[in-house]
Amino acid sequence: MNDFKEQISSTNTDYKSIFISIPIPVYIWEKKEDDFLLIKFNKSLEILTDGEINNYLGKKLSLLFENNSMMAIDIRNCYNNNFNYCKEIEFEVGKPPKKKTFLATYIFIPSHFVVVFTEDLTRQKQIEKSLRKAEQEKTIILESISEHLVYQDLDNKILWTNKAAAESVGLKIHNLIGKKCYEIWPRRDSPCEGCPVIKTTKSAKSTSGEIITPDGRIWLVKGDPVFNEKGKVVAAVEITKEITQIKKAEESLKKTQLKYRELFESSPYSIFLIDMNGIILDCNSSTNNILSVHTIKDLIGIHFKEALSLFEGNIHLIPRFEKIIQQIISGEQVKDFTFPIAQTLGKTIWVSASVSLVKIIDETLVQFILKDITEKKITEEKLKDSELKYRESFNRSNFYKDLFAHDINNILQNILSAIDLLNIKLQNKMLPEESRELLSIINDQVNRGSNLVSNVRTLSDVEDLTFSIEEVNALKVLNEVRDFLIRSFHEKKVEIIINSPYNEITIYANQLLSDLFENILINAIRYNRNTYIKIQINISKEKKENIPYVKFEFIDNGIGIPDIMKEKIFQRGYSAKEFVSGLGIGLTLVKKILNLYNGQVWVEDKIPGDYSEGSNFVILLPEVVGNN
Amino acid sequence: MLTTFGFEVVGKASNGKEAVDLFNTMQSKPDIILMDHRMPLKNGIDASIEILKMNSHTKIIFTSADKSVEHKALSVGVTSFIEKPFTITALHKEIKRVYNISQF
Repeated sequence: MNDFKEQISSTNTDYKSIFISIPIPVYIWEKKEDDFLLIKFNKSLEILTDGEINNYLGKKLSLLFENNSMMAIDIRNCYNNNFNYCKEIEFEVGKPPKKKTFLATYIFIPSHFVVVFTEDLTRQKQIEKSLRKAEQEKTIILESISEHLVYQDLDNKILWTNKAAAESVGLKIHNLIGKKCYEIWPRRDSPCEGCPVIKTTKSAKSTSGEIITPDGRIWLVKGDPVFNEKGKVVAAVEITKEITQIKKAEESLKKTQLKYRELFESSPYSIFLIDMNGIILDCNSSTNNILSVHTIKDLIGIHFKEALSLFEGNIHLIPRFEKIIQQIISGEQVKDFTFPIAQTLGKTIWVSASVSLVKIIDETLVQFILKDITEKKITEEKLKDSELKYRESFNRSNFYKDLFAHDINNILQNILSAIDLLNIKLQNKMLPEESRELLSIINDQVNRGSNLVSNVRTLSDVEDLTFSIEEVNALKVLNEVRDFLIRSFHEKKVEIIINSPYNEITIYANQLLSDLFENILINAIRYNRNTYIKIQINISKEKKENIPYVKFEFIDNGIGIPDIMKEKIFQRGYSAKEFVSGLGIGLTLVKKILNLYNGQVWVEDKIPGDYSEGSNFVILLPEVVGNN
Repeated sequence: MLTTFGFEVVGKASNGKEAVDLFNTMQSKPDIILMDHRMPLKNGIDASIEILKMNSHTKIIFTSADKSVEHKALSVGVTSFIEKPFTITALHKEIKRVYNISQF
């Protein structure tokens, strides 16, 4: 013990100089009674404690370190157990005191000394902490990026990989480390064809490319070389991103674009796309036919004014198109319009145009759709011409009808007046009695002519005009017609009896009802060879297919109608072929008026099976229900 | 013809213009005018308008073979309308009817 103390206390020995110059702070503690005394320390400790340690030389351990401090406990342990050891401890040193970490080495020197080396680890610990933090941050960053990162050596052995890369193949990171990158795929024992990482390690340059892995996925792979301090490639970083969906979307987009391009190209209509400056960006092949150009390439890229200037005859269209383009760009609605367009060989075609704004990718363009409507235009012109001719013909026919009706009536008027005067003379016995029959014949023919004129007019009105249907008192109209006819045929012995169990009969009809009744009755009077003409009108009601009708039966004692004629008499057409000789147009008018009223008409024999005894004209007219 | 029934014919005109001029020059105006419609120079409607303008009490029996002018004629103020052809008896009755109206 005394040797050790003497040695370290010596002032001129080499031992002392070595001790002093140890770069690590050193304490030498001597066991004294129940405590330890600081008997020596070196220069390094003096620096560490800013000279404070000088105050503790020869002082007890308990003055410098509390009894339960790590240093005090360890010194006692070292002495008590007679063994050397080292451990990390922390305590405050310096002015002002700072907490520091030390690697304390306790060496027991028999029999009463403990030497403590305290290597300051504070700086090292801080560096380690910073490194750990940086490592953690790096890991977080690399783990959080969606790209797959694989660090591999020159044999493609995976040295490190991130989570995204591992998960992309359904494995954990530790399953990948140490494997060759291509070995993660079943049945693959060699690198993928065209692997950019291999190219990178060979060329020492960054390389990228697309790779399809055996599972069908498509990847964008980028390889970056990693150099050692001598500039030699020692490894490579592989950055991979799956682009399967992007490629599929691109493929789909390409197909869609192709499809639309095909539609665009196959459209029978010319389609133009013009940008906001009036430049033709695109047009389809149908445009060739409209503008008479050899190829659409002649049009793409030029201004629409230039396109319209290809033929002098189209230059006048430029201001119109300019105005339309301005309107559509400013958001106004532009209606479809038509115009003639000049072509080669002096030919002109008619075109209809639709114009709209379309958005293609991010660009708003003006779209023109042009359609050749020359054929339609010609047809329209022909139709217009035909309509004009029809209108002229109709007007001419109306004019002749009117002229005929008016002038014939005037002629009839004069004849009738003459007959009237002759009748007066006959009554005054100024004419022989035999004149009476002749006058009767003339009068009859005048009435017939007058009736024909009236019917022609009414028939024409029924065909050309629109008549409204209203509620009409049929019995009143029938009575008026009967009275008028009795007066008109006063020279004949005519009796018209109306048998109606109803005082009033309301039907759906209009002002033409009197023409209807008049014609049935005139027919019965005219086609009758008896001197006494008797017409009986029976009125009843009946339902047909649930529709209530009023039934009028006009029973006469006339010449009758053979069965073969019973339907034909109502069906007179306008051609000579359809003309039924001997009958006027009265019954045709009757049928037409009844069609207007949704009524019905037919003829029966007065005595069934013997038409010669007279006819029964049956008419059904829709009844207004609720009226009696 | 009208004289047969005892009427006096105080004037005759072959067109609408003549009728208006004649009416204008007559000191004693007729009780009834029998007016046709389709006439040269001036039609019956226009002639009636001018005559009624000169004397709104004039009774005009308007006749035409064209029934479609009936409404127009009555609307300008003629007293009655008879469609051609008509019988003398019918005309006689109508003249008497209109004349009687004018007595009230």
